[in-house]
Amino acid sequence: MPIIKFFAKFREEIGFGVLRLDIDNLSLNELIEVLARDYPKVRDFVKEGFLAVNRRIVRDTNTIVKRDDEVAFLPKFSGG
Amino acid sequence: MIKIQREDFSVEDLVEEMKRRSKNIGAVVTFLGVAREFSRGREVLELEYEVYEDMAVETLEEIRREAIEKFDVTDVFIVHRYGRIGINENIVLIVVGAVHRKEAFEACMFCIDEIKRRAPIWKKEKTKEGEFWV
Repeated sequence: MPIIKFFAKFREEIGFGVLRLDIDNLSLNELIEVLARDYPKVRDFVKEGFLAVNRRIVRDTNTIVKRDDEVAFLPKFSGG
Repeated sequence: MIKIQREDFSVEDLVEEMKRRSKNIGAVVTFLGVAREFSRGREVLELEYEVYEDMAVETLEEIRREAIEKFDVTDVFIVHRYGRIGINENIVLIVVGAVHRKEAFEACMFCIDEIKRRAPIWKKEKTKEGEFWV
């Protein structure tokens, strides 16, 4: 099951940091739609921030997510 | 060397460590980011940093390697803190050791700019008016 992570502002807005989903071989677009059924805010997260798959920023939402992948919803960065 | 840590760090210790890296270091440039009291017109009481640790370590290591190759410097250390950080406390430190000063300054500037642009780290400002992710 892929692990889905939310950070900072997104973590606070959605109310948790980590979620496991029982899916395999879905595109990021499909994954977002699955999540949006319960958490419609994720659609805003995608517009507002970045998506990372396995700790790499991914801009193509047709990217396929597999069973062992880690997907993260990241607000705009403000480190340093 | 890359470190992501809750605890404070000693700038002097890390500068000394850099000097010991090579007998051919002629310049050490540091950038120290510090928590300031006023931001966007609000009085900040405290900062809180959150980090996506696994990804941040990989990103900082990537930035470090790029800086060494691009500017031909001897070594780069990056330390970034997370958790609660009080006003005037240290947030981030970059130490660059090089043969000459020019490439050390350039590499240091490159590192802090790239950290701000690419590292999955977030800052929350706690003010009298409330708490804000910025």
